[in-house]
Amino acid sequence: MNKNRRHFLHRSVAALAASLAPAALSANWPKQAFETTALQQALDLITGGNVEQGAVTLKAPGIAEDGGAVRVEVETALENVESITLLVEKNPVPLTSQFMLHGQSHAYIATNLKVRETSDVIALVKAGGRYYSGRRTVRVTAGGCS
Amino acid sequence: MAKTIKMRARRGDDGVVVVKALITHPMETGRRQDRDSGDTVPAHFIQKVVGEYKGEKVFEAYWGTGVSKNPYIAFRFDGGEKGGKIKLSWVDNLGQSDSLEETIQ
Repeated sequence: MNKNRRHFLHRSVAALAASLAPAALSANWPKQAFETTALQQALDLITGGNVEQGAVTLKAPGIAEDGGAVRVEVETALENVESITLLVEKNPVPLTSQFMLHGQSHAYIATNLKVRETSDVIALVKAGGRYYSGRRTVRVTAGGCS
Repeated sequence: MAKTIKMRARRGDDGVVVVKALITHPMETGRRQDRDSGDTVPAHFIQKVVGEYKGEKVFEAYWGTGVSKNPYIAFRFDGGEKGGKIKLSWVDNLGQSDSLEETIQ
């Protein structure tokens, strides 16, 4: 009886821990934006619709032989940068990644993205509560999401 | 789990620490079909990556399936000393995780 009870308790605690862990870890993960399949919708969801052009340096190759890994680099001289967001217009899910900046972080990020077909890559920088964007077209000669 | 993270952190003469890292991970989108069985390969991708120096976050990323397989990242931060430790950790959508500490050169 006691043994059973303990076993039951043990199992419930383990189950509770398992059910809590992923939620806690991904509490700030922007689920809705990562489920959005249209670029404009994703942009609106993230920015609320107010985006200024410029002030963002976005480096990406003009032509990519391998769409599976396209090097993208973002930098800005803007002050009080809060986040950098990278989107690929024609991917099944345009939002690829969001980088949150902290006190000592520089407003610089580089990573590799999947670019499924020839598409614009968009970098959004949030600084002082406002959004700024940069855009570059990447021509893909081989697919990236296969 | 085998080591999944390779990282280099270097402090430049300007005092800026440049961190570059490679993570071994399939980054499955959940849309790909297995060539042999024709079955859809379930989504399996890193959702969060955190970099810490002296317990403070210096890097934080939220990812979807659009980040390349075996992801590469580079970032920069101020205030890191040579010999100090930088820690990088990731968690994926299946709850798997890994972390690594590396000395700033």
